[in-house]
Amino acid sequence: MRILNRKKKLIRNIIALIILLIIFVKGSGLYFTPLGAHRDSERTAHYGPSEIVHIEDFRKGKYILCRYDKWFSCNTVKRTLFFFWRFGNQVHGMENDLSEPLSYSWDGEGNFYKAYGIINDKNINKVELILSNGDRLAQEDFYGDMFLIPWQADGPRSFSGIIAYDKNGDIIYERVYK
Amino acid sequence: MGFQRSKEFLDTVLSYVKFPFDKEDIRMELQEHIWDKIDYYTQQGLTYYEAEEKAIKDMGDPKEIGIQLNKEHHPLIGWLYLASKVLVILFVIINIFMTVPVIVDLGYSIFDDKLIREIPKEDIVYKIDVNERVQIDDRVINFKNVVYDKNGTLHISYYYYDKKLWGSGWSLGTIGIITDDKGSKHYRGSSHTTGGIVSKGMVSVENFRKDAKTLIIEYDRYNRYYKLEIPLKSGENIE
Repeated sequence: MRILNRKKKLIRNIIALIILLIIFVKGSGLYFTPLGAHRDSERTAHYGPSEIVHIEDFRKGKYILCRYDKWFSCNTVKRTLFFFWRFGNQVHGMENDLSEPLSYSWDGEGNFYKAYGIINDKNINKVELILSNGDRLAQEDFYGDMFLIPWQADGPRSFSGIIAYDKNGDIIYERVYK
Repeated sequence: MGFQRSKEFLDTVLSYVKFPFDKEDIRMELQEHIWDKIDYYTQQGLTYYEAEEKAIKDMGDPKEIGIQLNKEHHPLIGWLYLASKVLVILFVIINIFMTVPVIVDLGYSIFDDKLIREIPKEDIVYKIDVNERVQIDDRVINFKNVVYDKNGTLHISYYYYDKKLWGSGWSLGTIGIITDDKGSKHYRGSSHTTGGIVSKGMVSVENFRKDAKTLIIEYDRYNRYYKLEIPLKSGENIE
C-alpha cells in the first residue's frame, strides 16, 4: 500500500515538475529548440516568418541564414543552461539591393562575428572577407544564392572589407574599408 | 533491559532495508506492532519478558521481513521520489521569485501612468485622450495620450502587450515615423519604455509645430503597416 502510494506520489511529482518547468522556461525566455527561439525572435521583431536557407553551428549556438520577401537576415540563437536555447542579437532584415552584384551585412556579439548576404550576379564564384589584421576568409560553396562566413575575433579581426570574384578570379564587387 | 529483544529484532529487519530515509518510519511501525502484542500478552498474564519473547516470535523471521520490506521500499523508487520532491520544491521557489515581480509589475504598469505624470502640469498646453489601438503581429499597441507642452515638445504615450501571453521576445523598437499635416517629418525624438507584460512607452518629439492640426504616426516595415491620424488641439490651452 505504501509503495503504491509512493509510486502515485512520484507520478504526481513528475506531472508537477513538467508544469513547473514549462512555467520556468516560458517565463525566463528560454526555448527547448533553436527554431523555437528563432521564430519568437522574428515574431517579436516584427519580421518574417522567413525561409530558412542554412543553419550553421558555432561554439555558442547556431546562425540561421534566412530570406524573407526582399530582405535577408542571419539570426543568432544561443545554447544556454546545457539544453535550452535563447536568442542572441535582435534579428534585422537587410533589403537586397538588386542593383548591386551582391548585398551583404555583418555583425557580431562578443568575439563571434558573421558576414552574410545574397549574391545577385550569377557570375560570382567566390566571396572573400578581409579582416582588419589582414586575414582573408573565403567561401565558394554558397547556400543557393546566399553566403555566410562566420569567424572568431580573438584580437583585431573586425570586418574590413568584402570582395567577390568570378570563376577567372576577376573582381566583380569590392568594398574595402580603410 | 526492557525492549532489548525488540531492538535486536528491529535492527536485524532494518539491516536489509537499503533506502535510508524509510528506515525510521519502518522502525516506528514495527515497534508499534510489537508493543501492541506485548500489551496483549501481559494482559493475558505473561510477564513482560515472556510477552516480549512471544511478540517477537509472532512477528516472524526478521531476515525474511527485512528482505520483503526492502522490495516494497525499493531504493530506486525512493530516491526518485525524493529527488522529484526536492526538484518540485526548488522549481516552486524559483517560479515564485520569477512570477511575483512580473505580477507586481503588471499591476504597477496598468494602474500607474508615471510617464505622463513626469511632465509638470503647469507645462502642459493641451492633452488629448487618444485611445487608438493598432496591432502588429501579436503585439497590440494602444496609443493613450498626446501631450503638447509649452516647450514645443509633443509627447505620445502608449502601452503595448503581446497577445501570446506565454511568448517572450523583443520590446517594441519603434512606433513608426511621426509627421504632421504641415508636412514636417520628425525622425528624431527621445523615447523610453517600461518592461513587463504590459509595457508603457512615451515618445517625445521636440520642436513639434504648434499650428499642426493632425499628428500622423505611420509604421511601414517588413510588410507590416499601420497609419494613425490624430486630430490635435493646436494652440488651444485646455489645462
